[in-house]
Amino acid sequence: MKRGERVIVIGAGHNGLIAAGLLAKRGLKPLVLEARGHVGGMMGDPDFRLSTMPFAVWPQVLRALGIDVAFEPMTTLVPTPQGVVGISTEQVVGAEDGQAAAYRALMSRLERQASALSGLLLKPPPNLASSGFGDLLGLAGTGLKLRGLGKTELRDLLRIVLSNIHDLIEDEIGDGPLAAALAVDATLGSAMGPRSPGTVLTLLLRMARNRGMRVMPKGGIDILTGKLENAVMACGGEIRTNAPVERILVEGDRVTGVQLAGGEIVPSAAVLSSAAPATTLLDLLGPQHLDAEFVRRCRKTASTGMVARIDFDLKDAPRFSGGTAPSGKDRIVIAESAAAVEAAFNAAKYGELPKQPVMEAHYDDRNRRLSVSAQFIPCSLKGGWKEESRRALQRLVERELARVFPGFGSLAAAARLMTAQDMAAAYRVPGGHWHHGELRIDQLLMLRPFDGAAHYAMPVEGLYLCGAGAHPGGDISGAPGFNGAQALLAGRRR
Amino acid sequence: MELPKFGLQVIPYESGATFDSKDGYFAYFSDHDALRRELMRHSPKDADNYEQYARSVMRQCKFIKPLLMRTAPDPVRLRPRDVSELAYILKRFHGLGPREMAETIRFWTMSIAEYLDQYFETSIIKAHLAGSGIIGTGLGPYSPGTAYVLLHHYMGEVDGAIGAWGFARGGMGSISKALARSFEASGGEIRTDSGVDRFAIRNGKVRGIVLENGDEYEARTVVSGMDVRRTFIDHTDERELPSDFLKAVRRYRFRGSSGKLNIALDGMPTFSGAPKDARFLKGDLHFLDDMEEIERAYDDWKAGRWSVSPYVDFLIPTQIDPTMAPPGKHYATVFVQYAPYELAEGQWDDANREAFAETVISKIARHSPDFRKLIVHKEVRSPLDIERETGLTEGNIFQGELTFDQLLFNRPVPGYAQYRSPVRGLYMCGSSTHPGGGVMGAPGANAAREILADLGHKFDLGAAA
Repeated sequence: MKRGERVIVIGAGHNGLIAAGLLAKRGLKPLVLEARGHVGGMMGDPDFRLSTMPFAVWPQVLRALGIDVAFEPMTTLVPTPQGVVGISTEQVVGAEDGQAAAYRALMSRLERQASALSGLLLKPPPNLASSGFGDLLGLAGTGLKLRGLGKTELRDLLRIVLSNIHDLIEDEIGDGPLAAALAVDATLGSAMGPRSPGTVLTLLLRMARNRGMRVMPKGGIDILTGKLENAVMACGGEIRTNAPVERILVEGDRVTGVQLAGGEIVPSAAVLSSAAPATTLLDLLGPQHLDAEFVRRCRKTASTGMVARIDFDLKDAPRFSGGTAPSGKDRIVIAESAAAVEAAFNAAKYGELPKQPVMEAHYDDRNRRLSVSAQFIPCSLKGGWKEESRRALQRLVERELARVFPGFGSLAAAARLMTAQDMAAAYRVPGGHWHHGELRIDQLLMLRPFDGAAHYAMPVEGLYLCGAGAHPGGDISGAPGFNGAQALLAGRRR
Repeated sequence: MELPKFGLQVIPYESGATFDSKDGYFAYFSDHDALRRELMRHSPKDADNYEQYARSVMRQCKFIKPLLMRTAPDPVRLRPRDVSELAYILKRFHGLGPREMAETIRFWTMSIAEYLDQYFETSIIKAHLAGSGIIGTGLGPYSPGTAYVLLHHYMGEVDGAIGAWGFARGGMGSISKALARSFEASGGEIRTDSGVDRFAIRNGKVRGIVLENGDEYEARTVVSGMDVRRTFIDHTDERELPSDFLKAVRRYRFRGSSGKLNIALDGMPTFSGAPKDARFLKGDLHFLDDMEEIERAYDDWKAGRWSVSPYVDFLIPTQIDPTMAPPGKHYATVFVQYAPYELAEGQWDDANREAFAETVISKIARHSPDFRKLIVHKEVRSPLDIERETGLTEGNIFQGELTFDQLLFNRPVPGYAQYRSPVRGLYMCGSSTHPGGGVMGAPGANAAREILADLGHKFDLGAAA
């Protein structure tokens, strides 16, 4: 593409902003079209704060955008009846000594293994189709890098990489609060329980950055959103909110622009979509432009969201039974054990509410807000989401919070609830899935979002994916946005 | 091994059925036209998709089959033979073409439920086919990795027909008998009632074995068909083994999940959902509505109790092979999924065994009103009983879980996946080695090849078969 040419970016979530920022830096004129009234997508929703920052943006991505954000590591707190267990970069407190040591040993092993895998993430996935054998050799090359781990750890990685976190916990640390935190990290946002094979890989992918530690931008999430927004504007990009794209326009197998809900047509030779793959391809583009097999695969993509978000405005800081209050630098994991995480998943498999949802919470002490992600709350609840079931869920969450924060019931002044189904409607993500599609072995790398669509460039020329549905997937990493923009800049075609 | 010559007769499997709770059924036939008619009765769409499904499964079988009869490469040590073996696998994989390569990766990693959801819309059809993904494992149909387990059930071959199942005339024991006769005819010798006490090891080399009765045999090569835990934890002096190996063996997962009932019947039971004399009653019968029922049965097992509504694989083999019972009488073999090896509450005592049997029988009786009163005698086997009787640890029929962390170069443990052990001269040839369980004999054949190679002989599997 020529300098100064317009590129439309659909969606102003972090991936859309990152892609637009990179294009702007390279002299193109990105126009970001956001359906909702705010930028930042799920991360920037003013009514629902991310309970915590699920892992940070790749430093390479921020460098490419010329952005400087300071991130502060967070301490994970796991409340138990015996007190609060704290996990930070430096230490584990409140847990039994032997278990804490086993946990730390396991984590440092996983960190090494995760960083050996990290080379696969900030570039397009290997390609099975085109050069074929060469790509397989390329994969073998990654294998060679893995050999840097040494024989013992490489053997270990090859054994556990496709296995489940439950087994690893059973072998290495035993169940308990530390295991609960690990099980939550391996399953958060997905429709898998700790016993589901593949959960070790999702954990490793998350640990590829920041050694798996949660971080928070200094000053709050809005700082990051603001900087990403500025990066787009500063280089001549444009962002329009309340501008929902209704159709991607095509002429003779080439993208010509988009049509907005109001009927306005915005011409452009290239469209980068950070919306979910099925939304982009089936709703906005339309199956008539795609071959039947491609459409079938797109439809069959697993994307069942199981996270509900609940934000509470509180009258006062919540306090653990010991009397201490969490700070803004804490991430609270509410799950007793890995077994409890599995039990919560059991109910969700059948579209039922778990008796004890697994939760991740963050308390913003400046604004007295407690943001909760409740895990294993099915998108399609048996009998459907009605006012009554919503109230039941809220009561359930409040009851669990009261167990951790005695007297919580009288603290809450207001609450806002967003189920996965609400997310599906609000962000146009099938199944309301956090990662725009399950992060599962059969939907990773060259199979993400699905076979035949893994290299950002779509079958219609000029259309690219750059959202969480594309490799390497969800969380706040910015890698799909980065990779998608690179694909467009390289003029890659399918 | 020329088993037919030594008395093995395989009666090909022809049909089976699943009954749902409303007395509806889906019957499976190995005869293509009959199966198509039955599928059409449920859903013309499913009937069409079945062709695609069958082709896909066959392609996977064909891809993987040659790999089973080869020793898995060691991707860490990478000696020349490992490199060439890896290259062979990569080349075969690449030869599939881009579309099939992706399908293969997905097939290896996805759940049986999702795999079937891709092709079928009818619950009972999916329920019928899903059983093959979970039998014998500690996984549910929604667990990733179960589509692959399907292959272990489809890999059979009867007279050259891939995917065929067969009944051995006279029961499964006749396979062992034919194998034994063939072996003896080639000059081998078998001693029964000769339980091994321990392997005699000196200076890292095996010297022979010591039996429980005190007899000693000297040998420079000893091959163990016992599972890896029995071989090295129960019958080897642990001082002879490296600690990382021991740790890995202790970690090896068996996870018994199956129980068994053998029931002697006074006559042939009737099934309320089946037309009279339906020929599919000769095959394996199941009683369930959908895959969710199996998944819920799995949830019970995870919690340490037998399934409230178990997945049942019910067969009356005396219909096909009347030699197995007196005239007019029948015998039912009931394979039950799931039953835990260790109960969360209580022990596998007579009371619990009886309660377990009652759960299974009442499930069958709901579909067969006269079943209960035809019962003359029953044997109940919990995973613990299966372990005690057969020596299969935790009663796992595959000598260990068939999950990726225990397949290929990880089976039985990383670094020792080529049938050799840390003790020179001591080999493994049981189902806890690659490619794992099912009555297919591949681990034994592979081990034999490695042993012969070490002894300086060449061994051509093709010629031996």
